[in-house]
Amino acid sequence: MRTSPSVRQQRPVNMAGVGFRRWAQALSKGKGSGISALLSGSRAASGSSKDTVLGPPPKSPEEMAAAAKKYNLRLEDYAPYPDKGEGFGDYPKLPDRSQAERDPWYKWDHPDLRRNWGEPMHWDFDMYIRNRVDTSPSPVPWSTMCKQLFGFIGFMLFMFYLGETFRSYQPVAPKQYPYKNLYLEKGGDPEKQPEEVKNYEI
Amino acid sequence: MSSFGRALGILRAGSRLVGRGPQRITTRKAGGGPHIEPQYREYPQVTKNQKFQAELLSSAMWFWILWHCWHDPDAVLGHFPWPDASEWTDEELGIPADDEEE
Amino acid sequence: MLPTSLMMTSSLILVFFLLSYPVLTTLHPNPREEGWALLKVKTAVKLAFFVSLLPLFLLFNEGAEVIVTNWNWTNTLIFDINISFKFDHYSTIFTPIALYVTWSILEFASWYMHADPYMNRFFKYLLIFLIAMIVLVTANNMFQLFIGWEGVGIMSFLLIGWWYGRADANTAALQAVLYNRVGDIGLIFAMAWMATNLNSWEMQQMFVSAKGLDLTFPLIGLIVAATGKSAQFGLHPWLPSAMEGPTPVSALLHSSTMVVTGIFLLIRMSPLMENNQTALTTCLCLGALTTLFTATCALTQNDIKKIVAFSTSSQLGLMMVTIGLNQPQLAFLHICTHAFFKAMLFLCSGSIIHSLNDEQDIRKMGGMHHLTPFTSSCLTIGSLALTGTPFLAGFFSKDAIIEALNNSNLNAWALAATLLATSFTAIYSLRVVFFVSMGHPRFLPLSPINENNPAVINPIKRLAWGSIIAGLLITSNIIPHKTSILTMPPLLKLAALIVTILGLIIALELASLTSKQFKPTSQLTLHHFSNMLGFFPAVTHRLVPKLNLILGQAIASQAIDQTWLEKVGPKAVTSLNVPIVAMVSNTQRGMIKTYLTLFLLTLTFAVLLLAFK
Repeated sequence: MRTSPSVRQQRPVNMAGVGFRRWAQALSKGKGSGISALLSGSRAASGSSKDTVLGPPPKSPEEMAAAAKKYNLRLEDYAPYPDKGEGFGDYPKLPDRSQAERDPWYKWDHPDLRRNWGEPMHWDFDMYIRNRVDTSPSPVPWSTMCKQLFGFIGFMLFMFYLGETFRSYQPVAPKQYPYKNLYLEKGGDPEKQPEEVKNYEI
Repeated sequence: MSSFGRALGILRAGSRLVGRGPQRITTRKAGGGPHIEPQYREYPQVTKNQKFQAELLSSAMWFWILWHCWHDPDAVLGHFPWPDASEWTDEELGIPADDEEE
Repeated sequence: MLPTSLMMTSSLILVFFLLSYPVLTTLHPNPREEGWALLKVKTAVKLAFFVSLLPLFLLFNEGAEVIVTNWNWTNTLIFDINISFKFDHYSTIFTPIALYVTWSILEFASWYMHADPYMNRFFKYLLIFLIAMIVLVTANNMFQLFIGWEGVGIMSFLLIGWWYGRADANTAALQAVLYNRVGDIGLIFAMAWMATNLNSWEMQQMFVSAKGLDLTFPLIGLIVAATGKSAQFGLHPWLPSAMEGPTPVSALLHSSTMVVTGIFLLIRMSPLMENNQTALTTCLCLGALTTLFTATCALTQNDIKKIVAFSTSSQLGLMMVTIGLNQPQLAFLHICTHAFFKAMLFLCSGSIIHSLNDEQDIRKMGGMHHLTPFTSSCLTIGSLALTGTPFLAGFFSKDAIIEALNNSNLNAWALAATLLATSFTAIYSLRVVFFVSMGHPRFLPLSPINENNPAVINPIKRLAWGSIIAGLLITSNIIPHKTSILTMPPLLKLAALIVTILGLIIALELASLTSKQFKPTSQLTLHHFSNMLGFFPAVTHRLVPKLNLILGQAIASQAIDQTWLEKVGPKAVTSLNVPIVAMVSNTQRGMIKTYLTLFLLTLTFAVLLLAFK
């Protein structure tokens, strides 16, 4: 049995000697060379521990049961992701339900996330937290919602197009002013007289 | 000793009964305004001041509206009448009569 | 400097000083005392309001308008950024109104938020917001305006998320900040265009040098900015969500001041816009779409704050329509009158919500006229002013806008949509009054109903007086920039009133229908459309983040892993090296002939190289 250094560090002080001896034994009679055994046995303390690392995708029913137990799931709730080389391993494929959908009145261990301790997380948990994607059922089906919304927008745009073609206006003549419609005041040439405007025809 | 305690309890309950009822407007030192107890299945206490203020404001609004409707109805109905072109006479427009020779 | 302009500038600098003093004192490490909020902040705002009346009177009396450039911030050879303030009639009228409304709201907040342990911080936020708002209003260049613009945006985010323990409040704050950033992209785009093409951010210089240029692109940027800030269609869902914040915040930011900054930006930039028909038509249609859509949403909402929020959005759409009509002054007038009655409507709903143990559902109210007579009368006054009852505040701006609409040459559908929205205003306003003030109580038997507090009565009273008389005061003192049409057919003159009364009649008819319902009707699709906010948030808030996040996940953890680890990184090195290694080691098997051949080959190569060098 090889003990990884970080686990050894977590042990109490009086166990340190035992741990070191085992480690040295592992080094001396490891399968490969000493260095490679050391390398594969060591890992950063910040990483996930061995029992939380994804296992290989389960095949046999026993493996399935073991994986379900590992993720605190019942066997009937457990379904792995299809093995398409995407690295999901034995991670359970949970239903795509957002946290917003969960019961707000239940005493969750973590009420903010609506999550219990030790509960398996959805692979895309960060997507389904309460202020992101909401999948809670709506009274109107999705396709109807899309149709009505885009239908409304399309209708409005079409009507605006129609309204732009058939404009509404109040027929009013431009404002008329005395002194030949303020000819001089508007910077007309004083030498020339503006031509008479006749607004009527007989 | 226990009888004394019981007597106190009865007294306290009695005082609570006496103190019940809607007429409980007590002045509170810290905050402004009278302190009104929350009422259970009862009509909440409404002070005279609050009623007066409400009626003052509402009547001021109606006074304002009606006063202006009386004195300044043009703002709603239009200040100047819209000229009706069909009532203009030829004379006003300077159009000579049809039978008149040039 | 002339004494008038000296007085104007100094009093407005005094306003800034008075407002920033309480904020500056918070930099001191000592904790604020208990009554700091009410004692210092409210007093400062009140004092600032009275000081700001002086320039207002100077403006009304002498028509004094001043532009002050105080300080050169940075300058390059061709581009200057100054600190310059513009005290024209827009800023001089709006500053006292903003201060007056804020004064009332702060006083109300001291009652509404009295149980909040961080009330001092709340007041500080409101004060910083107010300062940013006044910076925005008085800015004479785009840079300063941008500072104010972002300032109000940040404070809006912080104040919506005030109850940050609630995920809903956090979501609403995030929505507000994200939608506003979309708008900011437009503003930054317009500013960049101005900096490169007009060589200035000073407004006068911009207006002068923009003559004869095609301004469609920067104007579209500005319209996008206004769409984000003023919750026009497309970027509107953040405004109803922002009702998750405390009611004083909704009253100050999301009805009277912050949301009108988008419209205010367009008013300020109206000299650029008035000759660009594309931009004007865009504004007109966008505004008409907004006002109709949000009024439709307001019709079936049950949350009292949501109704008021949607009516705000609808009024903002009306202001946008006015901008599209090329009547910026009318839009400004509507901003001013709207500030009074909308802030008051929010305060009234806040008072009612507080009295009913934080119940916001209007179906669970009722009969408030007998229980809180003052609040419900003010609610009625506010609703009447909102619907444009003659001679109340809303009438003077709304009627003028509808008249201008009727007399302009404009898109017929925009006109129809706006008129329809105007009648909807009457419907949802009556609905609020009907459900809240009239009828019988439908709330829980134990309710701490009490409006007998000066901190409730006084602010609402002040704003109620404002919503009664402010319209006439402002319209009779403001000098119109455009000659208004003097006469029009009576039908057009009365159009606003007619559609409002029609809406009122329909609403009354519908209200009486509910009392004699024969059989339960299933809820109509139209009802769902209106009640679920036109499905806009439901569709966009589910589709867009999901697609984005799934794409992000696919790229970040799968595509990148596949690319770097499998195809480029270690595995690629392996697959490159393994064949070569295999070849080299497979040749070396102790066969002397192989070694000799290799030796000969190498020798030949070396000789050839030397020979043909």
